Amino acid sequence: MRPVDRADVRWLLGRLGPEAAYGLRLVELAASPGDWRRDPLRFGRLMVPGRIQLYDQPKPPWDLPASLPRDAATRLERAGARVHDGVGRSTVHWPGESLRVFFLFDVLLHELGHHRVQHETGKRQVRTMRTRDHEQAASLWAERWRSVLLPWQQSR
Amino acid sequence: MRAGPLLVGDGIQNVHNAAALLDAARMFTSRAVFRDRGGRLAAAWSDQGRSGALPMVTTDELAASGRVVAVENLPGAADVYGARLPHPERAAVIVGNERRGISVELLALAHQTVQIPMAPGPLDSLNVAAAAAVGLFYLIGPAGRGRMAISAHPARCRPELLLAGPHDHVETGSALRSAACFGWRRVLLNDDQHVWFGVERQQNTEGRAAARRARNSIRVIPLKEPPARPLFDQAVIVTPGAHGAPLHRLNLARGSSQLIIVPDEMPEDLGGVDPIPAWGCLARTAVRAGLGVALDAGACRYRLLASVVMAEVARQVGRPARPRRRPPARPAGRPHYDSLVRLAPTLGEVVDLDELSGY
Repeated sequence: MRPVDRADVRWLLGRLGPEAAYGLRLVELAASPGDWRRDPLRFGRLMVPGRIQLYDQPKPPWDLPASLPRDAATRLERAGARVHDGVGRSTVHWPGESLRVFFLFDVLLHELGHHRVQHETGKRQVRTMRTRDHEQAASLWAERWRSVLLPWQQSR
Repeated sequence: MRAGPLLVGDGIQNVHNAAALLDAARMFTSRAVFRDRGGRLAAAWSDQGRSGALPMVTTDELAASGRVVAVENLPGAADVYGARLPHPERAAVIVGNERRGISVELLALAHQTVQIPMAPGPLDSLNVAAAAAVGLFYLIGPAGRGRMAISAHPARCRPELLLAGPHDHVETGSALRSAACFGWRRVLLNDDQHVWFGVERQQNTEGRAAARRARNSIRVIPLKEPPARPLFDQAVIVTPGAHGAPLHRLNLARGSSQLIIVPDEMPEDLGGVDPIPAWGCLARTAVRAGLGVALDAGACRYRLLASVVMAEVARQVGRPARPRRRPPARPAGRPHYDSLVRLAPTLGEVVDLDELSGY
């Protein structure tokens, strides 16, 4: 299933303004690459320059063949997911609109963060920094926007 | 010479190796003890009618001693060249079983692990007593026996080696094994004691087994009579005593114009004769070098002496510089950044209780 649709993406880009979307060429709702149950679970990808893919996901609940690390579970729960961790397996429930919230305010914002890092350095087609630093910068950018768009999440 | 460290033979099986280890310890004014869990070495020792009982040590006793150094060719172990024991009299040096090496239990006990660098080839370990002698020589030796040299072309710096008149076929075999391990492709052998060429079947078999001849392809070139004219520019004659310059002070990496001679003769300090007249005619100039080890007629086994000399030559000859580690290659193509979640690794296999009860 597609967790978000075209209108959701447009809405978010509209809220972020032209500066965030500058240089963005395409946001693609794409089929999931390979077996989704396999490690790792892929949600989205930025392909430099300016192409973001958001992957299809299976219908909730997700029955995963391994347990989720604590930080990953926290990340999903922040969007409203309920994670049940068993021995060697785990289940993720996405009640209501939580999966859509996760994709818009976590996955898409994070990939847009990568895009901004890449775009602002002016080197649009090559690696501009170490992957770890790139990830950190993208997370910071997304976190800043989340605090604007979802202020109630910060008080949790 | 001050007292050396305790030499520990861990799990030694061969009685002859145990005897050679006792000699190696005497050579460096040390004391050898053995760790023999099954009691097999002690039984074999008494079965062969050897005098006295082998001194034994337990793991607890060893743990209570001072610094413990393991001589073992393990990945990541430091070279024995350049390694030094600050207080040898309060330390223990461990060598391991002929095939399995040092037990995990003792390796865990060791404060430091050193290895004797070997030349690439099918043979990758010295005889255990030879390894002990080399280890002790460098660990308790004077400062100045530095690290292994770095050389662009080690083969060009390697001198020729002459094993001169060894008296025992097993000692000769072990010395040939050491020569192959330290990178020699050919060795001159003066066999005037008739221990290597044209000997009886049993002697032949024992000598070749000690040399690991099945894997050791070193060429042994007989040197029967002294040549009419000198074949080399310089001959370095090494004896165990203190006569001559210390071995590490001489340049032993002059290439094929230099000949290193290791005679199996009684040192002059113990009533032997000067080796220069006998061997000096092989080169235009001849110099004496001394190992400076304890002079004890019984302790100076040929394999120990020859292995220490070869180790020092190998140190000076050096090895090529290790290639610099390149940074990992960046992924080809344009970069991409994923949003993903990694699952925790599953340890073992999860089995349902129903499934288990059904089984």
